[in-house]
Amino acid sequence: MKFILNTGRTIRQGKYIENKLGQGYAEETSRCQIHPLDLLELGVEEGENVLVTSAIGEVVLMAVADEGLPKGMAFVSYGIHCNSIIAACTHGTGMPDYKIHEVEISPTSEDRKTPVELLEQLGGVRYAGN
Amino acid sequence: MQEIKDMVCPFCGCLCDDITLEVENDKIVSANNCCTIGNAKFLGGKNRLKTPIKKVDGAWVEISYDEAVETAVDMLLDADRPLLFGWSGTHGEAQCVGGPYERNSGRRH
Repeated sequence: MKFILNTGRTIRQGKYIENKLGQGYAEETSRCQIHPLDLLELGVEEGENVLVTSAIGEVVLMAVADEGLPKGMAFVSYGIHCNSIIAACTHGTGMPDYKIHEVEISPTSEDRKTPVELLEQLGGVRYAGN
Repeated sequence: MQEIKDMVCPFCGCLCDDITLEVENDKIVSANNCCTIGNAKFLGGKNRLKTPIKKVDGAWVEISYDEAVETAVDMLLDADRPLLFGWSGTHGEAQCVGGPYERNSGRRH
């Protein structure tokens, strides 16, 4: 199903920014808020995973029902998950489409990755200090 | 125990300057009058880096601040096309390149 992906700040994402290696950040930034009627049409229940695909990539997120969203819009908090599928094109504005990005959403049985795993896919190296 | 009044929270553009902190043994043990995010800023930081780190042979090693400065100087001098990123005037195109890495080391404002 086609959706418009909207990404932004949430209070939990802001709180967990201080510990991006932790479970809280991984959980908050890998959730995808969708209107309950859209979830019905997708055939996905809250808590099940969805595959969100853009022109440049795909990421597995957990579906969460949100009546406050317009139908056809999905919201994901700022983080490594949503950034991994947002294209670099800025239409000459200098700003990528962080708040209005065309995506396809479908049910999936795959597991979510953690932010660390996504960064390792990009070539990052885990730091196990402290 | 030391009480610090009118502390400025460094997290967001609100720059709340009425925060009261209590400090014991060089650690902040309480933060009063912050929002949720301010609390996390002052009291959190479990995984905060305590020393600079450098990637050597594919693994991270701890280094001194002096060595970190020298390394940064060398990198900038060697760079043909340096990407300077993460400050208030950063262009969106630079954010797209630096974004995934920035997500794990800082924040976008």
